Amino acid sequence: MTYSDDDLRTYFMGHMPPDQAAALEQALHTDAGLARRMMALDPAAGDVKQAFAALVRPVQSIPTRSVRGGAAPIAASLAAAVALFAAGWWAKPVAPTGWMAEVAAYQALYVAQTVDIETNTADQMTQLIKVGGAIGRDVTALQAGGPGVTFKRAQILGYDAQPIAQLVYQGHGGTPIALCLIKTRGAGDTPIVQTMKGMASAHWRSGDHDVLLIGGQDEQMIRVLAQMFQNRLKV
Amino acid sequence: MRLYGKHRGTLIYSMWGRKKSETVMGQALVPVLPNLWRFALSLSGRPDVADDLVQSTCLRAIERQDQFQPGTKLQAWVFTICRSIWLNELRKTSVRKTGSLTTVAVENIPDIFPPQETNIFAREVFMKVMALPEAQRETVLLVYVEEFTYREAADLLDVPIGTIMSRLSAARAKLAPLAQSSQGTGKVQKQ
Repeated sequence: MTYSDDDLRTYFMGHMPPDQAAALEQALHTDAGLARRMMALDPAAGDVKQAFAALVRPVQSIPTRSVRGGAAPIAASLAAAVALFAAGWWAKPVAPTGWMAEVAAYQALYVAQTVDIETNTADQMTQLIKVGGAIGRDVTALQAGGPGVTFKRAQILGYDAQPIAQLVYQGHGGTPIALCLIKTRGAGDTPIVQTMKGMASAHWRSGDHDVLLIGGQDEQMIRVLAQMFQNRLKV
Repeated sequence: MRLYGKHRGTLIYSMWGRKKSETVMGQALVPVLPNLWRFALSLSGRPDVADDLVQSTCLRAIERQDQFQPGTKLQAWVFTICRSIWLNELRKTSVRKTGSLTTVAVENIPDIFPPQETNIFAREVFMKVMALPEAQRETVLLVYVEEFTYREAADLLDVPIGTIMSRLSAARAKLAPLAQSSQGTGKVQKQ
């Protein structure tokens, strides 16, 4: 059966008899041209598309320091976490010193076998509560990990008489990844992604703590994980 | 000052090599990210959950990039992953936290629009869409915003085409009063 544009408008207005409407919907299974015409005539499509076209990510949930002229488009903010082009969200690398240099040297000793361990949720939560108490920050939300990244254990390290919370994850392919937090020593809000001791890393400040994420050689993976943990650590 | 801890003295083994194909997938995802975030928002109804969902989706897409069939629609593949993560992993947590599957906190909605956006009608349409039940909302986004065909949307959502059409009909009925009031007709459309 052939449907005119008026027939289709009648359908969209809900005025087509149910049996005819059912026949038209059945025709859509085989008539791609009919589907295209309907999509073009749908009275709601244009308004909805326009409403969503200008959508941007809420400013409070993405770094604003690098935003120029207002809220950044989603593409610039999110793409910077996955691709490697400079949208200004990632600051220039600096030579690792102090606690980060020591953590990087320590992390360089980790191998796949180091994180290939059996754990249980209860022990993990006990560890997270303990390390969180040591640094004065609730880190239990970080137990969740993410796709391809599994939390394994947490422990307290130390540097310059300051406790460091070290959370260890098993990444894709068994890669050891560590997330470390220490009372802030002056890191910026804007994450810095760089190589430390041959490993991909990202460090930033979150509230009263500096955060270092380090492990493997996949820099874009570290960028994505850094954004995930940054969101989880929001104060 | 020395770093001290539990695992001193572990031997050093060889480092891991970078996987070039993961870089390729990561770069292929870049143009899809804005669409992915909108879809994630339509699923979760919450910008913060959409953030998590996008990041999880990207990680999984990179991890499973061997499963992507070249020549097929990357956006559809990524959206399928996103929806799977939402349904199987994040949805329960989000519902526990909010007690609701559908609502975006009204105070957050204006922040999603650019500060210079003065199109009140667009904002009202957006709020109306975000207030739709989840199934209608995700269908509206796929067909109206991302321009998936009815069949593509049906395949992605794993429902018959007829279900797509009924969801769109229901959504149109809720959106129609907005369009009519903006045109000044004052008419009430037959439901």
